[in-house]
Amino acid sequence: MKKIYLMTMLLAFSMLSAFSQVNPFTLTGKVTDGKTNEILIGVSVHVQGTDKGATTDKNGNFSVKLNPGAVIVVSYIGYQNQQINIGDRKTLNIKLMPDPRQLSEVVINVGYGTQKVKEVTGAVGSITEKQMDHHALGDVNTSLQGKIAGLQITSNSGEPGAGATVRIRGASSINGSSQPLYIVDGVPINSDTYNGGLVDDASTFSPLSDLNPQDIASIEVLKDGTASIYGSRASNGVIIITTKSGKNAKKPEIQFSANGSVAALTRKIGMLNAPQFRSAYMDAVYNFTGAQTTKVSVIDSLHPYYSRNNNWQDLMYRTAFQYKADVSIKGAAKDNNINYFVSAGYKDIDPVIINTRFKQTYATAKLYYNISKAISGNTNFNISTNNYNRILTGLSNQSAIYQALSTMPVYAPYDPISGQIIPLLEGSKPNPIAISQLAANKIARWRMFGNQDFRVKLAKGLDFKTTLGLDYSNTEETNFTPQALLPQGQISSSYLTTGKNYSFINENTLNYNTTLNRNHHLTFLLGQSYQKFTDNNVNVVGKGLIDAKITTINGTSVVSLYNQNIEEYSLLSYFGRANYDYKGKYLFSAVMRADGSSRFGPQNKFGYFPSFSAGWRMSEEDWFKPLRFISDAKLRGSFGVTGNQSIGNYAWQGALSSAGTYLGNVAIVSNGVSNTSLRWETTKQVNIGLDLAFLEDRIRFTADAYLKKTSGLLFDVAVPGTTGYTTVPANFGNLENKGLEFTLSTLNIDRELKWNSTFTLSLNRNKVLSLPGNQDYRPNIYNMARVGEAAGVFYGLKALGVYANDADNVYQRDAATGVVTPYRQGSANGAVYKAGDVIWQDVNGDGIINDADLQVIGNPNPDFTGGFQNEFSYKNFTLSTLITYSFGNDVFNEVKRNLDASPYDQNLTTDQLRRWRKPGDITDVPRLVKTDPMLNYAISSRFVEDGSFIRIQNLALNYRIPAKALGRLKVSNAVVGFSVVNLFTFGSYTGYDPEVSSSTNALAVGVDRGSFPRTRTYNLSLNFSL
Amino acid sequence: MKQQNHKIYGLILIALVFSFGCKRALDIDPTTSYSGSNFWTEPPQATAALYGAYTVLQGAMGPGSVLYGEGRADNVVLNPLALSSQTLNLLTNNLNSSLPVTSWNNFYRVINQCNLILKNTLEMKNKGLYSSKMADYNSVRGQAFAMRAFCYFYMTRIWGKLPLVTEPFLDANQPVSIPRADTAAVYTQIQADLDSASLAPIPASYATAPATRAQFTMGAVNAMYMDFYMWRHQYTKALDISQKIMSNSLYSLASLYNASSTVDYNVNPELIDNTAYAQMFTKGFSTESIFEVDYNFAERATRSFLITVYGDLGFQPFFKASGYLSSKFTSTDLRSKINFDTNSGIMKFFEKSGFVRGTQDDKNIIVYRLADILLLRAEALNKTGDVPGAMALVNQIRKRAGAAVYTDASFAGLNTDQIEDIILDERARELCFEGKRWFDLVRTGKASKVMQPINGLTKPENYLWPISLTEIRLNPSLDQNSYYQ
Repeated sequence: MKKIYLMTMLLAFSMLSAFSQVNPFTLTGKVTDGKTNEILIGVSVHVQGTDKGATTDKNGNFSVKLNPGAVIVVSYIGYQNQQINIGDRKTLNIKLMPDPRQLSEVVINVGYGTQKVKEVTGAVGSITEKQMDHHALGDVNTSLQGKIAGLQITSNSGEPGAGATVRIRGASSINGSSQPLYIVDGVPINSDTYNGGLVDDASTFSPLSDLNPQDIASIEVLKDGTASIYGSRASNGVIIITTKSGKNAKKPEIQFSANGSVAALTRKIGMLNAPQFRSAYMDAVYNFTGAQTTKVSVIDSLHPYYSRNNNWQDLMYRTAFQYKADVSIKGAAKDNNINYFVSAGYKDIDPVIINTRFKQTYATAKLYYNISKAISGNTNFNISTNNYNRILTGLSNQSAIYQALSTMPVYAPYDPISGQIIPLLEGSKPNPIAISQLAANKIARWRMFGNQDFRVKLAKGLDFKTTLGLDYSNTEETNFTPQALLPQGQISSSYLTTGKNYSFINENTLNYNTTLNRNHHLTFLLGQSYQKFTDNNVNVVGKGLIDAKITTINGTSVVSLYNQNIEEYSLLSYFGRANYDYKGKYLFSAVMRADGSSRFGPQNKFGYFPSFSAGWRMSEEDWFKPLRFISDAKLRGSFGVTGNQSIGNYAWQGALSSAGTYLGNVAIVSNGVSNTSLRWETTKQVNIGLDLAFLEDRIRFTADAYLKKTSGLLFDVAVPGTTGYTTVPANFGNLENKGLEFTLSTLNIDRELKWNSTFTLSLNRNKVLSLPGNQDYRPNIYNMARVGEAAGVFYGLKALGVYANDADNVYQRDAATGVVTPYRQGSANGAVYKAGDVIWQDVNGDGIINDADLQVIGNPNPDFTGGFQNEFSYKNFTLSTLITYSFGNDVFNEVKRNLDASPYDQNLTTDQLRRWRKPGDITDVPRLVKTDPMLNYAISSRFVEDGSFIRIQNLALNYRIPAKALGRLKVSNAVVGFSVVNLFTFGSYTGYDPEVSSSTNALAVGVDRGSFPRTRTYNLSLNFSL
Repeated sequence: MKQQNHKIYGLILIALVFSFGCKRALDIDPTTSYSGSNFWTEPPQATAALYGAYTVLQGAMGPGSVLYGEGRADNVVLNPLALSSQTLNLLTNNLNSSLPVTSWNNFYRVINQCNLILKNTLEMKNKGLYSSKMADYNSVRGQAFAMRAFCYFYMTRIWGKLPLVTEPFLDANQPVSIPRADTAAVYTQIQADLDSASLAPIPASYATAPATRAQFTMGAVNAMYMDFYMWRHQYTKALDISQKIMSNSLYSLASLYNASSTVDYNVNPELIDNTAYAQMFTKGFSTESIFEVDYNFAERATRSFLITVYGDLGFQPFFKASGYLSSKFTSTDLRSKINFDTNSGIMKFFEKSGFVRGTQDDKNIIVYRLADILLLRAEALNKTGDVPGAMALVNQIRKRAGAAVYTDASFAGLNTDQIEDIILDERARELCFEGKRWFDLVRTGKASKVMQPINGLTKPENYLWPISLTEIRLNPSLDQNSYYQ
């Protein structure tokens, strides 16, 4: 023993003496990308066997003191490490080669912790900051569209900040807000869409637009049962957003970005011009009354007020300018004990409808600090405000969108003599231009959310973390309708609704990880969470404002409605997770969560949500090694139970609330019935997945197959009026979703020209498994739920054509007498269909067209959806494209039905050019009859259109200004770009856009109810960093 | 050591936060509304629920009472400048089950509210909550019974057989598909509710004049009995009950024609606004009124929407007065000046001058008034053979309006049916646009005779209205009325 000791001492001495013989010198050098020759900043250069090292500066240069013969290790995330024996070289240019295999080392967030992609056992999709939308209309929803298999996002409209229907693997809930749960930096945030005020105008807005896409580092989507770590709110999947931080920023980095866009409508709906309209209107009245119309505006084309030939869409829509600017700074202390990220953004958008404007400001700050070796903290803070001067949408009389279509083309919008705007056109119809000028619909929103956490290292491998989070928003919506825009008999009105939304969360977790015998790796998570939500809404409606100067509530003469509604609910949860892997080869994970919610009765408060998943990395097996072209192979499987609790806060208790007064006495009305047996909705999901990578990860392929069954769907079920209520809260039936998802990412060319592509494809099949009493359920007049059919199929009459002649209406002909029994409408006493009426399919063959002849006429659920992303880079140029597609879904064109049903005096679509006019005409469009007494415009297959589309969603060309050109400017990186968003849509749908989603209710989807149309924008952007 | 401390503090902290999650955190009651568990604990709550029922009744009657009571009859015609598919379908007798007016939901909301009141007040009384407040108890229950009777009677005249719901819907798990009971059972229920209301007893009047006219009273219950007996052709009972109303000093005819007046309404038509008769409709709460539904713009802008259906006030209403009706008035009959303008606009409920469209569309809907009862009594007298008695009542109404009275000679020798026609004509003149005409035609069996020339109505099964398609879809045990099957 002593001998060994002595020998070691001797050796050490001799080495020391050897070193002391040479002089240390300074090595300087530069690190560049071996492929692109781009400068690499922040590369670590470490002298092996010492604690000496350096990192490259903004020009890629480094200098380090070392001894001759030293070995340096050069490493950088995403690149292969290099060890270089320096010898006595004084300068050295190092080229680092990208390491494709590093991708599987990438770490993603799986909820209450992170995992390496290669170790993940659930089905998780993700996008990174590069894939975020940075143009002015971009937000979280638009950024995710078409990029993750199994995630289908349908924007509700083209309005700034518009809400979207977000479906992960089909709709597994059918109640109002069957949305995924959103987690930002570990804290669940309020993501319930809100609508544009008291008036139902078909618009919804997403609180996710309070997040600046520029601040987002990555988004992960948990798709399968492993989302049960979020238990009661994970039925519809979980979307985890991680914002940027200053971690590893060696020096303060300032980034600027500016984006200017020009936006325009992508297409217009074909409406009749003045001569076509006059002829159609005259037909409609003649067919109804048997007499020519005497309506002056229609018959007198020389009348000064009625001589126009407007396309009101041209007058209402404009080419608009939109811009967005962002700045951010990030940095870290050298020892990484403190790091920070702060940012601010501003956008100013002119939507394409005249007289509207949207402005938004965001700011965020994120600070990380080590208090001691064992304790660290993290403070996050986000604020956002927006102001939106908008216009009512939908199908109402005050909707500028609908009026732009329905207003008769003959009217002069401005008085031909005085030049003044004419607010009310003939028959008290508001002039849409006047609506945009005189009515005021405003949304002012303020949102703040943030969280504070502390982590304590209790022992080796054992961490405790406590988080406090706050989410506060205040949305104030006002609407003013001036007297001038209202038919006589109604008076000006103003409403104010303020919604304060507040939530508080406290979460505490313990994390333990350890490795036993080098090969057994274990991780445990134990946690508890308490969250409380408060909504406080005040609505005031006043009437009788004397002018349009003071349009707020205090200008009204009568307060006609005032209402305060405070609602609260709380969630108390306990959860745990255990992960085990053997040599990174066999992976197991088990999750259990118990959630208690105040929304359920005493017996049903708690729900339990377990999941189990396993993975097998076959490529780690010895027998796999010969298959060298497969660089990675993993088989995954999971089973999990998740829940949903989206139902009214007090649904189980019933409610009686104020209904104003009668003769000055307080009046209280029962408006909700209790359901003490109300319980959680649960979804059980099985997932099997395969991850493969070929040719050193140049080709990566992921496939998943899943089966989801949801039972006890929570829903406000419509009940017969004899109950005294319209709906009751209930657990309602069972639903199944099954599907396949594929993602193929390839590096097609890897030379000076580089070409990457990602293709996603998802198929989902949705089926209603059971309903109460297995009876059909109709949530509205368009859709239905029927056992065995997809959720929300369209239900109506099927049109077979139009009777060319009266004699064509033959239900039965008596063989002997030749007497014809015709088809009748509604009942045996109903009217007989005549030439020009629609031929309906008589399903039950009784010669009467009525409710018994309704059938499934369309399916709003697509057969398959997905996206195709491509990125080409050559030298300093990058060209990227995103194509999204959806096939096999039907859209119900309610806008067209409303326009052409013609109960009122309004313009008609160009379909009417094909209308039946005289006996013998063979066409698919029935004769026009004012008020449609034969119900030719009933809900029918005539308005079901194919909603399939392929959309060139994004086409962007970026140019990185070479460092040389930047010269002495202290700019390290500058990129200019040009892009087109929503460039072109291929598809046969005749409305504004085939992507329609008027409702987030899965039973009421695919109905086009006239929302704000989507726009095409041309964007110019400039990004640079210092 | 230091490491050890961290551990201890950490564990204490963890223990604290875990214990903080106690179950009480999940018990949250509503703060701005009542829940089923904290309501029905004090008598004023039950009273508020009763007023709640009246607010729901407001929605059921305005302007529904006009569509049901006039839309299919001959007092009104379509305004060609306001083509609405609903009113058009009614007037042309082309009803279908998709029309919004076929929904009975608002009436059943009133009924459910009444059922809640009746069930809970009884329980409250058993708990002793009404111990010293029996007058309150009787008043609330009497009104709830009366209101339920009113709704079932109103509905059965429209839809015939009805689902009879007399218990409140309390829990979502209760069965919801209730089949229709035949009209005999419905009539039994109406009779029982009217009896319960008068036995309660429901107050004869309330502290304020508006409450006496716009809440159910003993007088209103008697008026309902009258209407109900007449509908069922029980003339003896009708004569008894109408006698009670006539002898009730709360009710007297509002004056219109005054022989000594020097005002010439042809010169100053707006002066007719000052008559008590005109103000019965424009201001409400008249001494002639037995029950009316109050609307008040100042109370949360409640509107009766009469301006939407009537009133040529620079606005295109659904209906105009029919020429057939206006031709029935003689030149001295002041009611024609109350009822129409020169453009066939229906002005009965609106001031002839100074009407403000925006804030005054809150005219009360008069459900029962003395003139109505008198003319119903006339009908009963005629049916029981007392023609002079019947014609005396008709003449009383005519005299009030300044119209020439029928001389004995003018109706001598006319048969019962012809006298009934005279009475019906008088009802048309007196009660036009008040939602009575269609029910008058159906009650007297003259609907086909009157309406066939106008819209081809012939079949008695067509007198009933279709049941809403939505309701039939939601309740498979409902059968559609035969004409609409």
